[in-house]
Amino acid sequence: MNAIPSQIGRSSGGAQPPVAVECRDVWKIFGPAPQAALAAIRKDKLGKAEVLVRHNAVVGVAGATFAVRRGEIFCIMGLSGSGKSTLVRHINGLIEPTAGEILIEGEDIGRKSAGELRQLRAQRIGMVFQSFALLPHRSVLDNAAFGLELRGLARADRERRAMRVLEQVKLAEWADRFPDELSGGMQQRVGLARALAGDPEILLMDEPFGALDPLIRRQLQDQFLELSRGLSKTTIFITHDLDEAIRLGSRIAIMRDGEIVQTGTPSEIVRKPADAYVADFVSGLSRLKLLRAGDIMRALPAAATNGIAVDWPRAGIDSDLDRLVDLAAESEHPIVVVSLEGTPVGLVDKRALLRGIQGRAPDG
Amino acid sequence: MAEHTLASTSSQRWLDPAAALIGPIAAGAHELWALMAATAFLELTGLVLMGQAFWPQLEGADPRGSWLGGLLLIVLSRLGLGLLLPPLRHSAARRRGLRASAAADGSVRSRAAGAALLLGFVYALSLMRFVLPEPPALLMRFPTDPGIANAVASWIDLAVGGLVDHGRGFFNAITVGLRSALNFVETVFVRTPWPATAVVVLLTAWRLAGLRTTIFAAASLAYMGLLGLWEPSLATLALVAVSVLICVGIGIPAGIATAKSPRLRRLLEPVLDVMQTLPTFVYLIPAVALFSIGKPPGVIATVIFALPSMIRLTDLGIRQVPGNVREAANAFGATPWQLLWKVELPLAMHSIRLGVNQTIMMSLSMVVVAALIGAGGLGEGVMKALQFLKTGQGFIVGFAIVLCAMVLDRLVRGREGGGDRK
Repeated sequence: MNAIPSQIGRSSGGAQPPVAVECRDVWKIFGPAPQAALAAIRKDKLGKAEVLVRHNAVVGVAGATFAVRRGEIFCIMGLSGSGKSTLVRHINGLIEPTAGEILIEGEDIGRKSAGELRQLRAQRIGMVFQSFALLPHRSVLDNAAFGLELRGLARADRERRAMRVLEQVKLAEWADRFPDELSGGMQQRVGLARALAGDPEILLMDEPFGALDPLIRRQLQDQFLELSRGLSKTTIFITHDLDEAIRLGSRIAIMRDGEIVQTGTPSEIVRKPADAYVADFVSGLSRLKLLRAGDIMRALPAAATNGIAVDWPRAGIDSDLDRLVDLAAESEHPIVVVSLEGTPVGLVDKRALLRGIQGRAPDG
Repeated sequence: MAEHTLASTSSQRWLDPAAALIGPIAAGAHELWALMAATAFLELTGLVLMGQAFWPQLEGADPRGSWLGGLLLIVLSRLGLGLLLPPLRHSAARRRGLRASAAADGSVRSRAAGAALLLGFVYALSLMRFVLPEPPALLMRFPTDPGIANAVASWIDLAVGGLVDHGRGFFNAITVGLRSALNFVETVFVRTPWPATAVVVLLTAWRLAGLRTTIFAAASLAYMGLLGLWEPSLATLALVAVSVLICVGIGIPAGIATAKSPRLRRLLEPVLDVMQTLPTFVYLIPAVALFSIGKPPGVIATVIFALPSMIRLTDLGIRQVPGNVREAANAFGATPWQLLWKVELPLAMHSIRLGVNQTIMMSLSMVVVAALIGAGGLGEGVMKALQFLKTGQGFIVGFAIVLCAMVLDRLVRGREGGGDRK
């Protein structure tokens, strides 16, 4: 591709916030002798199928390494069976790794006692499940207050706080109902309220919207985005839906067969897929909202600006393709891309635009 | 080879001639065991009939067997086998899918050999037993010595006798404890003036199960009162109440323990089976020896019979708690106690309530048996009716037991059946 101004959009420069959650070379192997299987994988470079045959072991997570900064929404994306749900359960210690370290604010959770781990889960990490996992015998309010109740808060106190989060997820008037009286989307909002009630620093979302129909899913994504902007919690969000990952994620890790094959911002993943697998995913994606004018324009040498007529359409460098298509439909001329300061920096002609929608370089 | 021709022809033809020729062995070779057993039985019957017809008989004995009938039976069974084998093989192969296609010629052949060996053994012994006029004694009766049973029985007698002698203090303590608990409960139930008892029962019914059950309970109480069964009914209920309390007190913790420990469950499983299936009369004898007669051994026998249901249904209820709910509780930092109290027991409640209900029903069904050893109550009425062959009296008392069971059942189930919120 051409010389493209990098990192337009969500990632900002300057001092980065500190790391909140870190996984260092985490392995999880299920089977009768996981350590032996891991040793064999490391020594003999066995593949997944061979490990299953020779050690009767299944590789859940294979050497996952990543770091999530405070306030980030970090999406882990992969198909079912790729190990993403297994990986996220390591972060609150529901699953113990076969090898590797998980650090929360720099503390290795593998060194914590059972009691300390419970403390960590109760106070600092909230979790939302794909299956909602609400308690059917408790009212919505009691479900939302469940984590606080486990911590031993007095009834009045925990109900006040639970009511507050129910208001945040717009379910306050349903507080006295029971889960089976609610729709799936509402049940998951109760799940979200339960996770938020304890005001944790970290949210683990295990395919929270995966079981909902597309329209409800979209509504909940919007609601969640709005909510998380106000709360700025470190969020690890598991999904099998790339569109969802791109809408929500500040960064995305793509998993396949237990391995993280690529980590990057949404635009990095779309523009530079690390391998054919990722490229295949990305090819099914609508680029209209994702690529920006700066990504597809032909850069204009400063000297060439004279050739531009005044009646040519103009667009900002961070306009999305949707906007460019609108402009191109109204005019015969190429679109002039202007920088944030208003100076022309490039041109997008119809050919570049169409290629951009295809996801290819203008000359490709 | 026969198997080979079988394999190649059976798929097209509706009759498998090779199978008809080699008989049940063909069915065995293709793992159609039920077909093999059925045809072998028919064929063997035919062989016995033919053998009895041909074998020289004892002087003066009636002629046995019929060679024509035997031959017909064999031919028919062979023909049936030839007809049934192809379609059965086909559907079995489809059910097994890949495995069948992977089954090598060798395994068919070795199964055929095994089937032949088994059939040869059964045929030879059976023919000897039924065809020979004086078969060897070994085949007529399992070789044993009555001394063995006697020795085992007297050993058990000795053990129970030892238990009675050495555990006297222990068993007396249990007997006394049970007796005083029973006396207390019975005094409360029976001596309380009947209008007070009735009001308490009806109010409980009203609170727990609504109007319909209250009316039913009132009618039942009226029945017991009018037919002069008030005291024995309440004495029976006292016995049932104590038994059920003991069952619940032991059964729920035991059920929780087995749900948490698969090993304990495996250990307890056969014990529970014995408790549930061993005929009551068998353990009534030692129960009387250990706990004397009257109500205490009645309670013990009832508990032995009813406790397994309580344990099993509690265990089932806890294990049925969905894994994701349990995981969610863990994710929010639940301690094992909190998990049990706030998640597992509430979600197992339906099953546990079913267990209590079962226990009540089983206790009531033990009332007559307990009356045999002097436990009194309604069971005694049934016993007397049986002794003096009084049909009408028997039905009156029996119906009182049925009403007790139904009222208790509705009370324990509460509003669950009514569609109201739990």
